Amino acid sequence: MNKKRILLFTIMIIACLVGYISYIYIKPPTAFLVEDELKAEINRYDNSLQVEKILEQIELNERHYYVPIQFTDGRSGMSFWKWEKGKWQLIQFTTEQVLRWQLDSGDAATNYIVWHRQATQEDEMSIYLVRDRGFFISNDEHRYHPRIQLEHNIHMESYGVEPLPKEWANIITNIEQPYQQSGFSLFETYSTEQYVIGAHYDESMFPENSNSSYWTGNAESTLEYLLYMDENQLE
Amino acid sequence: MWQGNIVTTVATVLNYGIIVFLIVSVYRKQLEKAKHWKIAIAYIVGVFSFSITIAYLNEPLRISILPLGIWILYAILIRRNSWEKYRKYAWIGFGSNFIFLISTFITIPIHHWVFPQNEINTYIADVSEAYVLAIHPTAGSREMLQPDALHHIQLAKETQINSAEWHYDTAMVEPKERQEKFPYILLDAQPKWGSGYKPIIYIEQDGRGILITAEEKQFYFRTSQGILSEVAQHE
Repeated sequence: MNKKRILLFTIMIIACLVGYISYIYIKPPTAFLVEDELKAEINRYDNSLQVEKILEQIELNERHYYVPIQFTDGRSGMSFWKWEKGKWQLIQFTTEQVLRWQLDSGDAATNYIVWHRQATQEDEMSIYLVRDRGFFISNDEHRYHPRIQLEHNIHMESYGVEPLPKEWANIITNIEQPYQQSGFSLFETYSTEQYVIGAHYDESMFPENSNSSYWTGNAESTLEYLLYMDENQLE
Repeated sequence: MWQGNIVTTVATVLNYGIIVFLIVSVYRKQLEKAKHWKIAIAYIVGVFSFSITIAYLNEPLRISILPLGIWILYAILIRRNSWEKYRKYAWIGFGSNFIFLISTFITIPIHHWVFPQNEINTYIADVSEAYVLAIHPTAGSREMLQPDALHHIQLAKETQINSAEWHYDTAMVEPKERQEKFPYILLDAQPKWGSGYKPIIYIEQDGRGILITAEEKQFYFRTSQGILSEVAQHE
């Protein structure tokens, strides 16, 4: 009898835990944090990076916010927030001036270019989707991969956000598909569909500001640098 | 609509049918009945094995060699005197590795027979929702499929891929002067239903060549007439 009671008790505890954990994961996002909460959360991490001013709270979707900030030392900054595990989590804040944020690493259509520059003038920046040309011959099998090079111009003010063109996402999804299907390590040598998303810009658009970044580790970061593309790399 | 591989799906259902049949017939003959949930565990642990992977018709085949699960179960059950009761279920588990191996052996040729790899119809059966995108600056403005494109596509002839030649002919000049041989991509074309293919389809500069990447292979087809037409220019 005693044994049964212990068993029942264990099952109840497990059921409660499972229920609580799934509640946390399913829980819909609440309203985004207010300025004071944002400031307090960022200021917690690094004494040399304290927030002077929250410039705007930009909603990318109901679970992701980009918040451009001004640090007390005058440097421009960006902070990235995500609703995860039932809470608004700070993912990262940085004085990097431009990054690419892919909100869902499995969905190419959730790519955003985010920037906050040390400069105030308006500028045009070209971003590129590039996959290099290549070929393979093994035994009698031939393969040729055309070069993909697409350009998209972004009009930049001091800070902002721009989604990648929808066509780019469709192309990225398509060129990755045949390899996801089999997905066996045996054929890894053929996964040549590596693409990069980069940008060509003048140095004056992003004046030096000695970069510092702080990853909180609260949530998975899917923030990537924009590869700099030199004029003579482009076709 | 479902876009999976019908041959593999049917084979998987049949395999599990065979496994369930084997387990049920062993159970019926048993005088001292085993517990249901323990049968399930004996089966699942029995599946666990050390295996090697080899390539067969460009597909990976897993060959189980050492019955690790059986050894683990034997070590545990022999002390409890119940090895006899669960021995057969564990061996069905190990044996199911071979059921799947044999089934792969059979389904790959069947799949190749039902969906011939060197026929363009396998990859492009329906273009009613398909659209063309330029993927390179040298693409020009012919970004539309002609209304009778499917007819020409289905009559296309397979041709040799000269991968190295294509690559070097293009790459020998300065980047700015490079003309991509396949500067278009065709998206959202439907492959034959049940083939499970999600090909990448590139279209040649002259609108008459179609380069298809499907899983690990590539095929090149030429049509007798161009399949692209100019996009109407709005003044």
